[in-house]
Amino acid sequence: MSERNERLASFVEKILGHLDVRATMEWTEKEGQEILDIRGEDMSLLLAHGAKVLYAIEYLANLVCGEKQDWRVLLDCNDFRAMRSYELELVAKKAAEKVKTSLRPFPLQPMPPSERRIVHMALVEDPMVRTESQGFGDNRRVVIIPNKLN
Amino acid sequence: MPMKELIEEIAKALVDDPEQVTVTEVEGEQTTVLELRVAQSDLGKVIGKQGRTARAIRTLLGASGMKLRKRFVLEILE
Repeated sequence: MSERNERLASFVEKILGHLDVRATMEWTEKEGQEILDIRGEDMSLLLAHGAKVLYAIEYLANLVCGEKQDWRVLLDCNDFRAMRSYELELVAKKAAEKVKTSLRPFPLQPMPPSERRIVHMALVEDPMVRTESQGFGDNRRVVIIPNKLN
Repeated sequence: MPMKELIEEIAKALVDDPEQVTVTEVEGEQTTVLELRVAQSDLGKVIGKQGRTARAIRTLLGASGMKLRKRFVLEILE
């Protein structure tokens, strides 16, 4: 366990303490990405409204502890990432079908970078559509665009 | 008060000059205003690009406010 990871975990622990969230934390890794996994009974405070509180803590923790840009830790909470990923793939595929019949670009809801990436990846092998991120900051969203037919 | 400490904790971790971080709490009936003061050179650190850091801190305040049935407002002062 690196010193930076320890600092990051202790920062997250303090924040959770202030927010009165009772949880345990454990480090895991997936495809080379370090993940701090937060688990507990009632995680509604962290996961409400598209997990905006979880994402806010993740952003602050990386800002406080990551002097280098190439080092980022993901926060997960009660399998939120896996469930969200499954959900986003369904949303992406369904929206792509819509685009293929309407032949009009379709913008999805604004999402954080990690979620946009899941959408891009879900449609990367579909020759009928392409995806693009548009907008800035918290308003950046994936737009699914029909490919021109030959 | 826990919210004051939360803001102090985060702000001190973000700035270069933690000794100049102060948070004062102005309590109203429904709304509590938290006034965060940092060194002028650290203002950008607590606000962030396009206010992203300030917004993240406000998100945390909003969440705990919901739990405590109170409204918290963060003001960043020089």
